[in-house]
Amino acid sequence: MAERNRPTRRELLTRSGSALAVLGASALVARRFYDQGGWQSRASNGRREVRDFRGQVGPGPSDFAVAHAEPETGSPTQLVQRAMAALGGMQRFISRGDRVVIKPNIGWDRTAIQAANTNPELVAAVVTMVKEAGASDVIVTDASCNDPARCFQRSGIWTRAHRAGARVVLPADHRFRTMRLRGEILDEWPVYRTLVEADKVINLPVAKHHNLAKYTAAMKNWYGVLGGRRNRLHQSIDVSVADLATFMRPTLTIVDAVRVLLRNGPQGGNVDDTRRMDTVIATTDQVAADAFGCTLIGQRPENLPYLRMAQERGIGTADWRTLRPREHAMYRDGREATHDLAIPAHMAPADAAFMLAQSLLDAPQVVLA
Amino acid sequence: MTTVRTLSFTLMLTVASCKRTPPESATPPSTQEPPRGNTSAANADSAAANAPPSGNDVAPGANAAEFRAAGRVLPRGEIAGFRQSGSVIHSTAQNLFQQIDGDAVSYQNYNVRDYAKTDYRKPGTRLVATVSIYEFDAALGAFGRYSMHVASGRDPSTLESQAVSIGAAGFQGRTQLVFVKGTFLVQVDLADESEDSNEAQLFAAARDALPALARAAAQQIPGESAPPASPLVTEGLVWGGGTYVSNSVLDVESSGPGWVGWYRSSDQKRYRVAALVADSADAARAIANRYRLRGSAAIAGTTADEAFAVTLPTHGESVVTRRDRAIVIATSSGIDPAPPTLDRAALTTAAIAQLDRSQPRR
Repeated sequence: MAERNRPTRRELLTRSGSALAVLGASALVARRFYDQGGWQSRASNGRREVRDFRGQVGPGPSDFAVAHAEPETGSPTQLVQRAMAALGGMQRFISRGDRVVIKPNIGWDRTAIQAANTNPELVAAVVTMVKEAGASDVIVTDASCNDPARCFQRSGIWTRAHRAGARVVLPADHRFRTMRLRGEILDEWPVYRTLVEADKVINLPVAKHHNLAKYTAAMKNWYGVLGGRRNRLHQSIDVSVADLATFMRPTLTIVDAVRVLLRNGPQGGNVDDTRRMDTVIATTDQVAADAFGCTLIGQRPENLPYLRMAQERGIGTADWRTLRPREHAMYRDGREATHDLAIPAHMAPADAAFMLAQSLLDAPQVVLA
Repeated sequence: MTTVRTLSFTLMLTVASCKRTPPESATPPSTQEPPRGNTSAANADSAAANAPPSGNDVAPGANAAEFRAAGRVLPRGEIAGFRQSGSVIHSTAQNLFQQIDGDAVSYQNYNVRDYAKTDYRKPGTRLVATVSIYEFDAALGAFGRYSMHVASGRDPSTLESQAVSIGAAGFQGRTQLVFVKGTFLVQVDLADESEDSNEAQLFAAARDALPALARAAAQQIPGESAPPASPLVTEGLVWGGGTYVSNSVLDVESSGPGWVGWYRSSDQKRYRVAALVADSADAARAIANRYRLRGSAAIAGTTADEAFAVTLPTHGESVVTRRDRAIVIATSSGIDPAPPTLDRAALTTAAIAQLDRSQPRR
């Protein structure tokens, strides 16, 4: 019986040949169709991988807006509402039915007063605005540096965002997958899928000092898209920040400068190292956001190599003057005003930003035209 | 039949080879409601994270085994009404970035060895104190990182923080107390997790709680309570202005370590002095040459082996002097708002005075 079922030599050779052919063919097919960038790989910039969420953003009065208030005058909610109004409203960026991910900085087990994370009221206000613009689903998340539960809770963002109607998603191992980012430092890395699988992504960082990068806000905020051993990134922090900003092109960037950590960043802790600035920057250009924002802590864009790299890669511009900048000021006496940012033509962007930043801190009305 | 099997096998292999993780929209993450209390021990992705804690917000304290390595000096039990709550978080130097991100580099530069932190909660309130312990290889490393923390690069004469007499050196701000003792740097932070947090009440609570927790930690730390010997001239040195820099003194790369002092002269003029000591005169000469940039001009008539004026890229006009193994640089820049500063002659005098202390004349 067993003798009868034994294959002949011819059959054995045929089956072996077929098996080898199948293996070879499947290897070729796999090589052709292997997932090189994951879902929603929409564009590439040369060799680099890009997640471009800018989509079809309609025209608006400005692509760069700064809202600021005199002390005790404007709440974070009012500031972001005014900044977005100056850009043309949230509906310019969010369409009905969009699945929107909001990425605050929730990296630290710090409270709002310590200014290491994005202000929770600001996060809630953005959630509300996005929902009002018609988003079908709003997710707030970040891959925290510290224990996520501690960070989400102590930052106040968990409670406020949830109450505003967002789905708050805490990072977990199964939500990361290895992707080829093709950056100079970021080659193959675990990426937080929740952050890159959306119709629109809003970058919502906090402006602060950083011992290594000098200043961080918009571009560095994408560290929260990565898992794995992020210490490798710090060995060439400027290049890795530029790599991340190359990979992530948000629909919109809103920088929280309500209270700014001026020293001992990124973790801070001492309220004496912070300063209330009551400022929110909203823009379509994350490079411009950082070029302007760094001046709030006394830095200059030319001291931040990642800004130069980003500009050279075509990610954005450090010259925010080209973005039809607008500003909205709120005064203690109740007056409010929106203007074009009045910048002397001869002034370099960094000098102009410095002048404006100092004006914001000292006497907002000075910068009004 | 064989053809069918082969085709099926091919299809299965191809599918397996090209397998992608399904898009998350197919299985959306569940909404996670915020807890109302302490979640330090909770798994972020588990149901436990969604459930509000039962009873008060103070979690059970860590067991004795958790107070190990750097955590052995963490206060235990109850201190000034604050009760140790939850586990002790540990990290080695190599993994410190997982706790403090890019800030880890600034600790590693001073040879940090170990790290631990835990929370202390006040029952019936939302106040939470966090004590973080950094243990270094040497006392000089601990003091160096502490000295960078005090002013974080700014003029220390503008500090709101106050000196405290805990350990070898310490300061207290409105929500933070940091001190150094032996090879340990200890940071105590107080926060209020209430949504309607009242800043004035938080600051008032911190005034009492921070020193109590810091002293409890200091008692656990063995060793001397004196700061490491500094070569800096003490006359005119601004409080908080004596810093030990691990490298790149005055932003000149590969200078090696050195001390930088922030000074105020008797006529209220401001300046800074950097003091470096090399292993040999040749090494010192090489370091001095790093500061000898284009346009430097020799200064004659000093007691130094060499002296020159130079405009440093980030520090403006400075005077560099060297005697044997010691290098001293005096500069007036980096003080904001710019006060009256010293001219070149006065900077040279200040540099020579420091040189006399660092390397006495032969």
